[in-house]
Amino acid sequence: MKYLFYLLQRIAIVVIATLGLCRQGVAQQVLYKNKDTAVAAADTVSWVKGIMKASDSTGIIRNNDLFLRTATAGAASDLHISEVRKLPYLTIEQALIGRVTGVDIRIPTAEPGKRSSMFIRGTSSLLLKNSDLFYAQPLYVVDGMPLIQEHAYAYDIQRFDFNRMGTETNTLAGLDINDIESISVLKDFGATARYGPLAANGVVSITTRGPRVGKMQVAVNAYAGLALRPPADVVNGKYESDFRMPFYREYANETQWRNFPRYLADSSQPRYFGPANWDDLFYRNAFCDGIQAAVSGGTPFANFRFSIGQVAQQGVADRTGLQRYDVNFGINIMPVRNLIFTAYIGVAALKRKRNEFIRDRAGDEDYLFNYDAPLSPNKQFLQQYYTDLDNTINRNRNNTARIIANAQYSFGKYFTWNTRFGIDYTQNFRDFFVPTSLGEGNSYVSNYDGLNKRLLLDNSLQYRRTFNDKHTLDLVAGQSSTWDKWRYDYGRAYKGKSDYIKIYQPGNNDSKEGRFANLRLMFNAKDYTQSNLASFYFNAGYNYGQKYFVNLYLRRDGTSYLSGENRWLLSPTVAASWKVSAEDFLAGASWLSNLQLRASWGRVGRLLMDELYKGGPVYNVDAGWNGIPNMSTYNGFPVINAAYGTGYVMPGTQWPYVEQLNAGLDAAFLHDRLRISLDVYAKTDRNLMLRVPTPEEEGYTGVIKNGMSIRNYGYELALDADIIQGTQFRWTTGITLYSNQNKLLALPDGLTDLVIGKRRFLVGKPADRYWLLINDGIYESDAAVPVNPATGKRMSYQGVPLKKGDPRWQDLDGNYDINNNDRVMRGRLSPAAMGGFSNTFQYGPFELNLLFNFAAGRKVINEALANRFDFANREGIDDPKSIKEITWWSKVEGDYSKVPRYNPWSAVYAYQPEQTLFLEDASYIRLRALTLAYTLRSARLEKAGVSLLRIYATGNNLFTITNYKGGDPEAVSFMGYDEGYYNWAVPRAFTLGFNFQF
Amino acid sequence: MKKILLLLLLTTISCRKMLDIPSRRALTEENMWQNKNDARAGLDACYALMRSAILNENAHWIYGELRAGDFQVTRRGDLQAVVESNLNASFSTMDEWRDWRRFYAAIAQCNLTIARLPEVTKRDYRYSANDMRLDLAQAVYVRAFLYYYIVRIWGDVPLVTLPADGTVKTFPRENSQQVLDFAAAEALRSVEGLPWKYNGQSPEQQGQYRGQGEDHHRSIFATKGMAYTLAAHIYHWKKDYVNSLKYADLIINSQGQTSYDFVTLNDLTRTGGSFRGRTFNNIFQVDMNFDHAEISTTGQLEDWTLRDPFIPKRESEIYVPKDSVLNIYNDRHDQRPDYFFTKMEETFPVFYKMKQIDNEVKNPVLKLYSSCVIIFRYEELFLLRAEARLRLGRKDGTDDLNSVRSRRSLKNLNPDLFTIDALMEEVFLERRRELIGEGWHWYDLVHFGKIPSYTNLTAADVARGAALWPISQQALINNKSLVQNNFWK
Repeated sequence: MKYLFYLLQRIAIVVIATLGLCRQGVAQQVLYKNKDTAVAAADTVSWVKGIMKASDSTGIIRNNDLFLRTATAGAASDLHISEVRKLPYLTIEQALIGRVTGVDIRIPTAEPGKRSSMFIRGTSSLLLKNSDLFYAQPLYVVDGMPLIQEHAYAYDIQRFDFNRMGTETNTLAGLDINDIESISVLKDFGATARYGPLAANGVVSITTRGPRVGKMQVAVNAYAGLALRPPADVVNGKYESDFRMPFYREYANETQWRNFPRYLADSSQPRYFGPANWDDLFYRNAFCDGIQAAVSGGTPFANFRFSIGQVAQQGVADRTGLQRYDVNFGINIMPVRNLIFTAYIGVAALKRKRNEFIRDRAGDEDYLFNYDAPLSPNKQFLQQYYTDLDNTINRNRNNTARIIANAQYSFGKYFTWNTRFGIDYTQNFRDFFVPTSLGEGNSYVSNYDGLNKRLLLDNSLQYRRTFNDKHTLDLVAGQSSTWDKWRYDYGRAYKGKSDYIKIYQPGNNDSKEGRFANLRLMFNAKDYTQSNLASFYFNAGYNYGQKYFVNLYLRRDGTSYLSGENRWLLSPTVAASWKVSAEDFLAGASWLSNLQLRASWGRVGRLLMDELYKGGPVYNVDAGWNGIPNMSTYNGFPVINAAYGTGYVMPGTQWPYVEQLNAGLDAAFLHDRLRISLDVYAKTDRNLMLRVPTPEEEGYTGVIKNGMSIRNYGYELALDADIIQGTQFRWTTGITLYSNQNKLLALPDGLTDLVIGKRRFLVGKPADRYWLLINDGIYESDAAVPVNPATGKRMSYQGVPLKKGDPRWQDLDGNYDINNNDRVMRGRLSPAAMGGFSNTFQYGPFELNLLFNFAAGRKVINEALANRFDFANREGIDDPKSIKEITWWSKVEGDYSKVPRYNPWSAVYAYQPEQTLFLEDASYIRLRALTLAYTLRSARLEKAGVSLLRIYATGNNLFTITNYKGGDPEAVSFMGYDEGYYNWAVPRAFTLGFNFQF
Repeated sequence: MKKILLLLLLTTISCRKMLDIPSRRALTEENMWQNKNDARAGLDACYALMRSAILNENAHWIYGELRAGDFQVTRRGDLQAVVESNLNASFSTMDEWRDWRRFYAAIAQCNLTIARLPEVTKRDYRYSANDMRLDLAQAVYVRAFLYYYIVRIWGDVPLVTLPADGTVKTFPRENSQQVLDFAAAEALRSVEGLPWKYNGQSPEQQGQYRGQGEDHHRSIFATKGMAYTLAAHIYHWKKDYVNSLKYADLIINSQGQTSYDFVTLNDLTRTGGSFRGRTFNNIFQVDMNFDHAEISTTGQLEDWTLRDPFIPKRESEIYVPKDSVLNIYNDRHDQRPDYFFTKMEETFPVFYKMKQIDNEVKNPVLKLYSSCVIIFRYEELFLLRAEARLRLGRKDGTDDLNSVRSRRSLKNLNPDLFTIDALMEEVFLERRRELIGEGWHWYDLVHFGKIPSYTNLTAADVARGAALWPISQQALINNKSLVQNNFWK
């Protein structure tokens, strides 16, 4: 009830604010009319509209759009935004799942607003750790402004590869879906090349609802909903003890028995053997709501749109949530004829309530506590813990501002000059305080203040002319400059004097005892990097009678991340299209309404993401060791060493680049009732940077140089059909299908085989496979272990003889030693085929939409299950893996029957996740969204000035069909490991909402 | 139109300015080795990387202590594997211990520093030739020490003496005797450039060194004393006792220069004592320092040997069983067990020799340790000389042995009552008692040929090279000219 009251209050505020502005707008309009003479000719109005529409490009290159946009899907996939608007999506990634082709979206956890990941047409780099993901993300372009993304450099000073320092908030969560006019995913270089090197990973182009010409209109959209508390299969100490006992009985020696965990040893203590009901404190039914109001209108000479929105979404687990406020303003002004000035301003403030994982806290603190005793599964013993959690500070705020100013001036008959200036600015703050009660008596504080800023200046001149009504020539020359800057200030301090001092203010050299803590118990870091990009471009487009299109785009980019001689890259893109259906010989074919063939080839540079590559080998401060990444002095004197840990940077680093060949076909039949779009592509990344191994005896971990090449190839298919098109009843169905394959073409130095961490990379083979031992059962006795007749030695694992209870792994090379040569590359996270299946039924004012998304040929390593059995190596050690979250007290989902009872104490690491035993099929089909809308139409309403009144209800993630025996098949880590309780399943959620326009 | 063209022109011109921005994160080759600060920071990196290699995953004790068996393991499987000399076992830490890259990174930094320091003198007038010779000699010393250190672990190791230049090379393993010869020659070469003390009184080092007084550098930065001690140790490992004795004598006879002295048990073990260091008792220490915030949560022995109530941990990782303590210190007059152990009444006694938990991180404890690693100290040098003398048939080695024994309340041994071999055994046992937990015992077992009697390895195993560590897979893959140690194939 309290919540409802709160909601109503906020709705009221937003509506009042909007109405107030609306009145002002009307007044202005009246004023303008008075001033204005009869200049506003009808053609101006349409011309203005046309220009506003094209505002999503950098500069003006329109010919290309013409033939790319005629397709509903394919090389540039548009999203059916009207459906998405009804759904409670916080991020763009969520909105795209199952709705567009060519994207692979990974959302490891359902924590609202947390960083997620998207790969367009495969990944062009090796994904081994979190920081690699940052370099593989697509470019988001909002109203022609390419947004700056978070930089991975903060990982440089982090000991654990968990969260990046800072807020870890999805940078795209600042956009309100109700402010978005359209979202297209651009894949073809014909469409993306003009965004230059920023777009090497593909582009998600977002156009916001800009100002409009016409009568003042107010739109109010609101929804509220509920995500259901997920069922939890909770367990207590008895369950765990019963699970472990058979292993102890069979394998444990005296020492291991002695080390039987204390918390499981005494079944009389209620702390661990009482009823398991922690889930009451951890899970909840979570509310979400959103309200957004917009007012727009104006004359052709001055028109605007203003919107204000608020969204709040609670997570079902761990009291997480996200709250956002956003304000958007757009204006078009035509001060003199032929000059149009457009300005968009969007600001958003996000506040994220994060999880309370013990692991993440350890990561933040860079300090491991004693994890001998886990939390109790019983509520009674948890109250104190939750009270202590209330005394933490865990504030995560992102403030973003996006400003775009565009001036367009037409002169002569055929020339248009366009200047655009844009700023994208994100500041993110994280304040983190852990009281003494959660830190073994020591408090901790850290503050992070990060800034990402991009400035863009783009000037272009267009010459566009149509000769004899047939030949259209479109020439554009332009220049564009991008200034990117990332910066952060970070400080942390341990052992505060009092739990009431929660600010970071340690001592200095004069007064070693600071307000918070001793000078030595603090750590400060600052980082800064700047990447500038200067570009010149030229585009020549020609079409003949809207039938034949050709386009040549040339671009020269210079980056500040490379040295003078290697700085510039020339990249061409050619595209052509033939609208077959416009030919005379098909003029009579009434069954065919559209047939178009497209082809493009292009090359785009790939921006480097670090400053290391300018002048050969670099020096840094790398005097730490495992667990101490940031040691920087010896005997109090500063240290500078050659960058042995980073690698030897070969002088003469060049641009990596991507080449893509794309062929497409768009067809429509029976008066556009059946629409098909098919694209095939081959995208090849060349000259990628990679650290390749070098003899360790020179101290370096590797040599960093150009030379890796990866190809992604596949197809995308979209099929839409209006099956029934009655006046009362309509049924439209659509299916999308996307398949991507990946292949490593080359490694630097002619290497053909490379092992990095847990993965192997073989030239000619896919670069995204797991690397696993093949299970073949268990050795029931020592005698069952084969003996090498040549040496008389027993089969071994990396030189350690196998014994009773050890896994029977296949010895592929027959040398009686199981090692890396016996691993096979098998299975991958990115599905062999994925897509969506949507159906829309319309009956009178009712509309029902169902969206299924599916993935086939997708494999996941059920690490949670592996860890479950590997308890022996995860107990009471100074390592994050001995951390047991509260959710540890739930049954790990999985097929236990298939896992043999290995000796968990064996030195051969019997339950390592990297074996076929834990590789599971994670294909699935999911009813992702169901929406039911009712549009109210009546003469009375229209008379009252109401142009739209619609109410709707939605259901999300209603059911999933999958073979996967673990948890949610979609909730796995970026690298394809199901980490169990660190990957929260998406909850089932229902919302109710309305759209109101007047 | 003119204006537009002008604008276009302007943006083009500003292009170079826009792209030629200096890096703020990466220091490139052209900007390094320019001035005195670069030179000193590069030299400090030699020491710091040496420390990284020695402390990484407590490597110093893994190599020097654990395999010997005095310490037992409570539950960590990887440590248990080390104690059992099961060195091919599959643990991520074991990968680290098998790997020598960190040692070679420190060696590479020395190679680089040695090669580049002379350039700095030419570029920066503040960096005199004298400054340069001193810093260079330190880098030479650190490199010699590192080779001595790794030969004891892996035996034949590649001998790399030049900095990396980006060309592909192979580095075959060099006969360990050759490597030791090189290290010994280098240690003696470094002597020429090093002072006895950093007190500004010697031609090698004048004025204040780096703005700090003599005590700041004591037993941390290389001196003549350290270099001779190192030479004595290298010859000792080579079993060249004549030379070993020669340099041991040289240091002990130069006491007036070095001021080296014996340490009391109290000073050895107290907080702020020998394991804080900078004393005349330590000849060479790998430094950590709370005052400089050179503190860490991992890498110190305390992290493995302490437990409740000293740090928040129920069980220590390793401990010396009660029986062993009684067995090792079998003379009831010996004061050391009282200083080195505590909680003897409990099932798991606590090894209490090192406990550098600064007052600032106590009550309650924040596990940030700051103890230094003592490499050489005066007692150890005397026991070394005792052995060298005995090996050469000189019974006056007993005097050296007795100088240590008497300081630990043990009765002097009368050389006439013992054979040379028996005295040698006494030296070995004294080393075990005095240096427990300081990373010597395993090397002593190797040196005295006592592995079969103290561990589960047989004489045949030792003959096949079981005393050495296996080379990591990564090193073998990256350098095709390496051959795995026989026993670990």
